[in-house]
Amino acid sequence: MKLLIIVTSPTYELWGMTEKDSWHDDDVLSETEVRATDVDKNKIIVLRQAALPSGVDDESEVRQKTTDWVTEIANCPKYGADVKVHIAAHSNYVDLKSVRARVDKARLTACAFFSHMVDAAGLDEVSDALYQLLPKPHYEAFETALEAVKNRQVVTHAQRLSTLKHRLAHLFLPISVDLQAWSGYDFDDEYMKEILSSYGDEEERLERARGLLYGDGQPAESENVEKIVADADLDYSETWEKVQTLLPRDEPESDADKNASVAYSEVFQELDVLGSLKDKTKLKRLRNSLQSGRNPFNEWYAGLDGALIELRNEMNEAE
Amino acid sequence: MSQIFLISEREEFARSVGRYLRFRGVLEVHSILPPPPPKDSAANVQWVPQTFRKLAGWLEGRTGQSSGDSALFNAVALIDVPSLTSLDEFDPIDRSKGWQAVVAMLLLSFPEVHWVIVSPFTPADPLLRKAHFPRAASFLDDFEAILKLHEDGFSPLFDPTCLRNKIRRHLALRTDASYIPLRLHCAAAIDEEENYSYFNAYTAYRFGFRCHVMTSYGMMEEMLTGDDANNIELTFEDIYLNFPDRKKSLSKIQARDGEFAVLPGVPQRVFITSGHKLTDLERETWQQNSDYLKARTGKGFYSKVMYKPESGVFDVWMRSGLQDKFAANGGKAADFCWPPDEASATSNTGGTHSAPGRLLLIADLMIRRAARILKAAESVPDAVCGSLLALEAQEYLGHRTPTTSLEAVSLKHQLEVLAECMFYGVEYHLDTRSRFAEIKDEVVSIGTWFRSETRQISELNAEIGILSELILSFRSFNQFNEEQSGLAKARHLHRRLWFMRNKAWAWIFYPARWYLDLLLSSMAVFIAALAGWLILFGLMYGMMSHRERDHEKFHFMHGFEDAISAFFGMQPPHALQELVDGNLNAGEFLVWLTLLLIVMSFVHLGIFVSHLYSVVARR
Repeated sequence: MKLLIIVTSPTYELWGMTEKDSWHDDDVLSETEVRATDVDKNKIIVLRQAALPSGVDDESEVRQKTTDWVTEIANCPKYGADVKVHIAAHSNYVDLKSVRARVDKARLTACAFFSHMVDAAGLDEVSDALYQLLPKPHYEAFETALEAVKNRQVVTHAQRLSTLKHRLAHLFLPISVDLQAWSGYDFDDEYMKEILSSYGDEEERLERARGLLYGDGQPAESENVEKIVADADLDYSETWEKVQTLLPRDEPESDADKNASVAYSEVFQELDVLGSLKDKTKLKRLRNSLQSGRNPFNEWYAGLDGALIELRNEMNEAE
Repeated sequence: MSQIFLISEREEFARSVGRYLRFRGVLEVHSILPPPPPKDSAANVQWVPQTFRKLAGWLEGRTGQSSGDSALFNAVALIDVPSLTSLDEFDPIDRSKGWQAVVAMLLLSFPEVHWVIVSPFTPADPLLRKAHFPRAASFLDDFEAILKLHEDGFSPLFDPTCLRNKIRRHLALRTDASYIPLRLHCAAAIDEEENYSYFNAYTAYRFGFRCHVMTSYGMMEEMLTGDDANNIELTFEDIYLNFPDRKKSLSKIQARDGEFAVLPGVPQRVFITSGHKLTDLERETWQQNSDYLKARTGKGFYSKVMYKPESGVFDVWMRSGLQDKFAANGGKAADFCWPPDEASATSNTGGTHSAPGRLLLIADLMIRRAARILKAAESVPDAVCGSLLALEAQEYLGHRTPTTSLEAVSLKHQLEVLAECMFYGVEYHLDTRSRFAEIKDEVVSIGTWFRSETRQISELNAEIGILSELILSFRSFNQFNEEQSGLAKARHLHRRLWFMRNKAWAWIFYPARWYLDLLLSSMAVFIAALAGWLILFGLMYGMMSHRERDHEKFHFMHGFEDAISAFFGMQPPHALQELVDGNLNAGEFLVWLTLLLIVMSFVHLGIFVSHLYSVVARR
């Protein structure tokens, strides 16, 4: 079953739409009004958000109370063990981070905010779908609303990082594959020729990686790991520091910097792996190093990937 | 490994993997860059089906160039899904999804392809990870392990890793796709002969189990040992396993169970063997196996020994006792709900009463491919693959798009018959009764989506259409008895259809048509009918004295003689005047009785001789 929880205020039209016959009161909560209706085997629940006591300006109490209610409904066993919960909440009246932390991950599918306000572009996507759905709930409008919630869902820090981690990994994955495969085929000359011809125009790989990690050279609105780390309040995390040593913001110049980023320095400065991919002499020199049985590039690559996974786990725990 | 497909938006990555594969000896490496997703997510609605068509066409085109449609059967496809964070995102009909929806459509449409998914997502299920999800940090090692698995005979066809089932589970949450059946239980078909392994795996799959195909010792080690081994609930096992890569003899089941930790815990095991008992060693092995299986039965495990050859999918299921074992769910695996019940057909689906458009697109593609395989299949696995395509297409449609569903049902049965006929491991006589009964059930299920006023006629037409195709299949493989039973069934359906269309007057002729169809249903019935008529007329002649010397006594022997002579001679047993004079009470009646007998004999013998000729000529 899919459950759509909508959080709104009685001062808005959406609440009024649930006063029709097709809606009934749901006794899931005793502290506030909850209205519900079934759409086939699925359910829509409209929750009246907590009211602001007169003379009180601080909305945090309202948010806290509403968040608790949403959490209670989302976890309520009466909706089944395999229910897929979607939450559309009136902007900023629910702490979605807290909801995500307290609701079973297998139940919670997506959470999104919507606004009742109409701006120049009209209603936002979720609002628009809800205004279509509530007056006459039917299956297609229900699915459209769920899709809108998924489209506008507030993604977690870990989800944001996952995508960047994959993009970062993909920047270096071809090199990792080529070096490992080349050594697997006893540093075959034909293979070497193909590598050299493939990376002939190799450039700016590290710059692109730094762009993903620190946002260097990227538009301000674009996503980067540093921004996500800041959003997750993990600026001082040891794992984030480890990521920074594995791929420093600037080229390490001094010995101290090189010692701090020893794996990076070995791969990109001493062995000059990136330069070797387009220069036969350097590649042969790299081959001598790889023939020792150690693959510093892959060690660095696996280290960076591992550190990012650790960072993602920390974000998951924090959320 | 014949060919590998690379689908990645990162050209450089595809190049390096392609290079590695070429050096590894893969004959053909095909690579494509998928079109970039639209910036505006609202445009996904058009972009997803367009991109799916493009990639599906590309995959089909590549295989067409090499060795036909079944070439995909041995293919591995590596596909890049950069933003996948959960398997729930593989929803083919979610309009909010772009590339993930396309990939989900491809995964469902090409079940025979071993999909390798490069993504940030790492599944918790170790088998799923091991078979489909290489990790970026150890990409080449993981990919190599996947290729090794593939070379050991891993087949994704029957969804052993539950990848397709996970997509289905998500789909089934939607009201408009809630009919999609889930296979929650897993089986394994273990045999060094690929044909047996695929055939038995298909049998398990069509009755509701996902299934591993195990044709090598390496594959058994990979899947039946270790902490992350599968939870297998049914096996079809050859007793005398003789894998080319075997490390130990596995003919003694107890020793086999000691080797592979999963096997002793399997609750249902079906052993298939030729029953070798020629040497002392074989007799000793046989005895030990019998004792061991008896002891297992005592502990509550189900075991059954079946002898080769098999006799088609229905027969395997029936003779293995599994039909009775799962009788609570109509002979299918527990929780496997198929065909969709009538309630789901009548539930409120928000005004839509056909399968979701993208599922229809997937089903169309699968049906098209199954039809091509039907024409070109060269081996049992090919035919089984085609059957599975048609079977899954039918499941994705949920019978809600009746015409396409009927096409899928027809192809499924034709391809199953093709597999049965091609397989030397299946004996000459096939179980047609169960197949015809299933066709009827399926057509009735599809019929709920026809207009109620013409439903019965549409169902009959559909059943006749499917049967006609099957009859042609039986004929092409010279399966005479099966063809005859198909023809008998088709005549029965034609008669019903004729009666329904001409109710006003057809009832007059209905008994005669019914009787003729009955005569042709089998040679034994025909001979019994001839004997019946002879006895009947013999009794009647016997009861009515028609000779001077009879003196109105009952003379059955003479009556019987007269009946035989009139029936086979097609002339009166005595001169007509003698008949009239011989019985003063019923003289004229005897004449008419004789004339009736002659007409009956003409009709019966005429049909009998032509029917007999066709039997003798064909066998």
